[in-house]
Amino acid sequence: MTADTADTTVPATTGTAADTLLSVEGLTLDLVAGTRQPGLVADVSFTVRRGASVALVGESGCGKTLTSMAVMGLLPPAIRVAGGHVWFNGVDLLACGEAAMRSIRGGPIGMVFQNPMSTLDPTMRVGDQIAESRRIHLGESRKVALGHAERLLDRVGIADARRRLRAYPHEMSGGMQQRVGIAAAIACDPELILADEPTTALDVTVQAEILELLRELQADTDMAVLLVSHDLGVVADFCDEVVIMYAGSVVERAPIDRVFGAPQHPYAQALLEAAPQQGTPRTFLPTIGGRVPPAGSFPDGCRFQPRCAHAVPDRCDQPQPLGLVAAGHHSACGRVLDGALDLASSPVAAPAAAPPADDTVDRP
Amino acid sequence: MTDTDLTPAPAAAGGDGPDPAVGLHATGLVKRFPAEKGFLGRVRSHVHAVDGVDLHVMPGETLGIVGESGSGKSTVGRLVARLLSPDEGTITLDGRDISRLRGRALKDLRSEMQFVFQDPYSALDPTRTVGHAVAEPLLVHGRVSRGGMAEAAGALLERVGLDPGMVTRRPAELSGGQRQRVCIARSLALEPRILVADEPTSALDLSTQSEILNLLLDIQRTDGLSIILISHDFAAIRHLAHRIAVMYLGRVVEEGDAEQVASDPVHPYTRALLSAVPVPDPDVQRQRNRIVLQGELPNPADPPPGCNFASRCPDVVARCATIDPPLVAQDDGRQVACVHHRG
Repeated sequence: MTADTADTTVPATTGTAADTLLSVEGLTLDLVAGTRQPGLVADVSFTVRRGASVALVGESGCGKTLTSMAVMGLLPPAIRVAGGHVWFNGVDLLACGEAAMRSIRGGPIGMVFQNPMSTLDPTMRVGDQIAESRRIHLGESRKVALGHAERLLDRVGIADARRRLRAYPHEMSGGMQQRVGIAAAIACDPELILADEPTTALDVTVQAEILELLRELQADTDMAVLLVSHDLGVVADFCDEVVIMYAGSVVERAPIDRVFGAPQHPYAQALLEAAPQQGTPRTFLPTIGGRVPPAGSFPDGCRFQPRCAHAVPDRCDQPQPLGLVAAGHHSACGRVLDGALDLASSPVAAPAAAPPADDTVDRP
Repeated sequence: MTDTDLTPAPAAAGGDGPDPAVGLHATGLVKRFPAEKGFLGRVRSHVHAVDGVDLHVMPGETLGIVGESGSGKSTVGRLVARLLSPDEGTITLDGRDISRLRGRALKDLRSEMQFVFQDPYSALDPTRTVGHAVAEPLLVHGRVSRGGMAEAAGALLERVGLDPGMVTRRPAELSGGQRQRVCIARSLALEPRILVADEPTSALDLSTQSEILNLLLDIQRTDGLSIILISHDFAAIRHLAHRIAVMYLGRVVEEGDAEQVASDPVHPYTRALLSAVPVPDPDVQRQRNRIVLQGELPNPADPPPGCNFASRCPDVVARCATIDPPLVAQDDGRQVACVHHRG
């Protein structure tokens, strides 16, 4: 792992650094329907270098999937881009028209989703589905594209690829379907794979196989992976860098060893320490308490503040931009950046007894 | 309270095997589901969802059942809680055979044994208040009058760390974690001695999962009830369980003391499973010796003659194709079903 390389400059500015493939800059999305929430995703910035694996991590409702959808130009109608840039190879994808995006999706950017059954067409043979993107993007004939599809199926570890080309998705197990999904995603030799919870629907032994496959493909082709996940274990296993999101904003961004070793945001620290893997068996685990605020009621200033053990009134009501704590390590906790809070010396306390007090007041 | 107080030695299974007069004991459980139907709906083949499972849970003990999809772990939970009837085998509770209870007797069993479901969103009636959901079992069993429901519900909500004022709310107003607490409060209403919890944290967010695990631990500590925790999440199982049973394709392949199974797994499947569980620590991830399984799962409707795991097993030898290994007690007290471990 090459931690601490490059990218020590605070937010990526142009996306033109030599090895930068994707640079999300100040991405801000507004929810313009229903409960309305300006800054549903607020000022999100991160970069993905060529060949790197970057994780977007957070709980449900933190904006990780919306961020990845914005990269793909697939935002739902209720979401409006209010600001920012998504530079990919020097082109701002937010300024691209739909036609241009169509040539990028499935081409230089491949996509893998959580549920392969929902992305694969149940009425189409898997060979044709994989071949489709080569026919569309590269103008290959069906015969040539199918030949390529066979090599791809073989590459993703599906035995007897020639026969399997003619199978329908429902004839395959979940793990095999996800392998087909990956084969389709890499059909046009993408530079970036955007994988949204690619292993969440799979059993852990199958998850291990799929992550191993993605690692091998990366080693072969130097493609980058932007992994959207809620699973800190998968992230620690697979990624070089982590972007931790909470309620639509980035709270911490760093190489994995830094985040897992010395988190610099109270939310990241609490999340890591609440994991049962970290606790002594049959003892109470530290808890965060409260809940992620629903869209429409994000607090001002630090969005984690109502649940934060270290929050102080005035300081945390201010906007909390990401700042540099160490080389490559960014935190959005103003108190950490001020030097007023040292998380290393204030571990999250486990409750002494009794069930933790839940959030009691949350009537809408 | 110190940490050590939280790890009581439950009434130990002891060297001569579990005492069948106390606790829950299942022997030779079999459950088949129709897999394929032919002309006129005649069943042509069956899937053995549970294929000869023995389980023992002593008072105050947590048994963790871990397995992947299709392992039969949920079916086992439903069988021992008698939400399903076994096709073969017996289940005894404190020496009393409960495997064939029906009607009134089955209803009475609910006051001794309760089930917590995975999805707290579908487990609660959206049209009823939280208070009704929690106190309904008391009403059904004639322990409170309608007028007394709110008060009883308030006490139960407090028990699970919720504000008693929540009795008038509807499930839609609650978060996932709060709903799961409501479901647990409901399951505690009849003061059961055994709680069967099937994936109680899987539908919840990360920061809420630890709260529910803490709650289950706390309930067990204060009420001394037995918990059967069923999950695909090995970290949750390891955290709560005194003993762990690992299931694969309808069978228990390894069973033993939780720490023993977690830190020194013996069955090749348990070893592969544990090596695949991602740990949120990059150092550990880099150094661990991964066992990536190859091969396909056999068709459960037409299992191979030998060991179920042979088609994916890294340690497979010729005799695995013919010998279907039984669960055998090992020197260290655990039980393993593998030709390489004959005790």
